[in-house]
This record gives sequence, structure tokens and C-alpha cells, in this order.
Amino acid sequence: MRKISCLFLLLLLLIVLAPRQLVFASSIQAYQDYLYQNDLYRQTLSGFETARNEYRKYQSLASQADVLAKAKIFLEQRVNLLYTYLLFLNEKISENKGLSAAEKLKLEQYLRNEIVYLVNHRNAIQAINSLQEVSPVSQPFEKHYQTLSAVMHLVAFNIQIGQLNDVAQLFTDALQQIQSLVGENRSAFTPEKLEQFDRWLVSIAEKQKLYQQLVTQIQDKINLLNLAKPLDAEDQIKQNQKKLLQAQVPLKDANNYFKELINALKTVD
Amino acid sequence: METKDIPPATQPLDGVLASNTAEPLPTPGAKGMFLRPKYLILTLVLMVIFILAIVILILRSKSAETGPATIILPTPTSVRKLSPVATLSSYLRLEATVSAISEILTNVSGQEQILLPPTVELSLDL
Repeated sequence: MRKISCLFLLLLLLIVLAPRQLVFASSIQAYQDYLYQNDLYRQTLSGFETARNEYRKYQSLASQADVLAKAKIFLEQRVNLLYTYLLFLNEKISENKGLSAAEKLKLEQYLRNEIVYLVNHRNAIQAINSLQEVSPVSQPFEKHYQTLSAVMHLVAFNIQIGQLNDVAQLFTDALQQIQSLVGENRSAFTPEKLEQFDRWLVSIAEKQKLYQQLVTQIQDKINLLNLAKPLDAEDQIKQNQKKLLQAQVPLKDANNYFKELINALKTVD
Repeated sequence: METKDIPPATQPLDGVLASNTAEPLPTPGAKGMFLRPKYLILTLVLMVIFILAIVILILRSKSAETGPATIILPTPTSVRKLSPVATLSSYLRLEATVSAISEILTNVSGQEQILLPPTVELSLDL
């Protein structure tokens, strides 16, 4: 009986004390892991470079053994860093409200392919037994890195587009709300005030339209990207990154107009 | 020592023994002891608290969806004049939405840096 009472109390405590931000914790946790792996990566890179310099200087068996050990650690850490970054992107995709299910599936598939590649590469690193085997194991990864980099840029870019789509949806809802609010209460406002409200509403709608046009143009270009030419694809993404920043400007303007409109509503006599 | 007369038994001894063996006294921990009154009350109290906690959590999550319940904004005179309840709630909802949009737009700009892929050393140069 006491056990049942304790179980109830425990459940109660768990429910009451459960953090409400749990849903959003996964990408934050993944990002913290990525930052930690990044620190480790810097340390292992520095350790490897020191060991390599020692080996070049002394050419001794001890320095050779040391550089082999440090090279293996560095290569593994390089994989770990990229692996945790891909996991972070995966979490960001899951949490993104502005991407469709099909888009999410496509991006997750890109990430999954790269994760499988990294796991296989890590297995190959662990099998290295001599210094002569280090470069042959690393070279395929160096060639593949262009594709991996293009995928990382592409996914990160799409996550940003998804976030902006989410904002745009919020914005559309808010515009409808304010239009109906003004529409339902037209008789309560003076003609001058109504004219002012209508001007704000037209300006907001125009800015929103402009934003939508810019984002659609960007999305069309991104959808045509060919990952078989990873360098071109990455260049295209970087160019569109600038355009995406520009596309946010009309949305920010429209949001400021929104604030003005609400203030105008507040100050009516 | 004085001996007293033992009063005669109201029923034969055999009958008493027989009734004792048919219904043995409950021992602590036995099946029949499961619902002792004090434990029953404790269980009921805990169940009530448990249900209350779930209800509170549901209410909290609902209020989180519609925005914080503690927003105190000055009541706009015009809105008060138009429609005391419906218009004011619409106004508050709009203010909350506009704030949310501003916040997300700020976050999107910050996300660009966070999402930037890492650069790694490719050449081992051994």
C-alpha cells in the first residue's frame, strides 16, 4: 500500500515539475553537443599539428607512433563534429513548423545519407594500423566533403526558409484579423481614421506580397539545384542567402506598419 | 489460592473450535487487509491531487497556446468604445501576434549564424 502511495507521489511530482520547454529542448541540446564537439575538434587538431611537426623534426619511432595516434583521434573527431552538426540540423527540421512533410522527408533523407557515409568513414578510421594508411583513408572523405558541405548548406538554408514561412503564415492570420476588426467596426470610426487604416492595410498587403514574391523566386532556384555539382550548388545557396536576407526587409517593414496600425486604433478618440 | 467455579460454556467447545477454523482472524499483509480505512483515504486524497494536477497542466498548456495570461495592456479607449469584450480580445490577440512576429524575425537573423556549417581541416599533409 505504501508503495502505491509513493508511486502516486512520484508521478505527481514528475508531472508538476516537468519542464514545459521539453518539446524545444532537443535542438538546444543537439546544438550544445555540437559546440562541445567543436571545442574537442579544435583541441585534437592542435594536438595533431603539434605531433606532425615533432615527427617532421625528429623522424623517430616514438614521434611516428605519436603522430599516428593523434591523426586517428583527429580524424575521428572531425567525423564526430560533422555528425553532431547533422544531428542538430535533423532536430531543427523536426521542430520547423514552416516546412511541409514532403520537404522535411526530403531534407532528412539527405542528412541520413551523409550520416551513413560518416559512420562508414569512422569505421575505416578505426581500422587504421599504420601511418601509411592514414592518407588513403582520409582522401575519399576529402573528395566527398564538397557534397557534404553542399548538403549542410542546403539543409540549413531550407530551415531558414521554413522559419520565414512560419512567420508569413502568422502574418497572414494577423492581417485577416485586423481587416475583419476594422471592417466590423467601420461605423465607429471617423472617415479620416478609416482612410488612414485603409492606407495602412494596403501598405501591409503590398509588403507581404513583395515578400512572398521574393521568397517564391528563391525557393524556385533552390529547388532546381543539382547536388551532383556540389560546388555550383553551394555557390547558388550562398548567393540566395543574401537574397533571403533582403526578402526579410519587406516583412519587417510590414510588421512595423502593423504596429503603427494598432497604435492608430488605440489613439482614436 | 482460591478457585472459582468456571461458568458453563453457552455452546459446546467443539462448536467454538469449528467456527474459529472456518473464519480465521485476518493477519497483517493478508489479502483481506488491502483496503484499510486509513490507506483507502490516503489513496483517494492522492488520486484527487493527481487528477487536479493533470487538470492544472492542461489549463496551463492551453494558456500557453493563447499567450501568457498575465499580459496587462492599457485598454484603448477606442476599442473599449467599439465592443467591450470581443474587440478588446481581438486587439490583445493582434498585439501578441505582432510581438511574436517581431521575435521570430529577430530569431531568424540569429539562426543564420547558428546554422552556419562548420569548416574542417581537410588536408593532413603527412
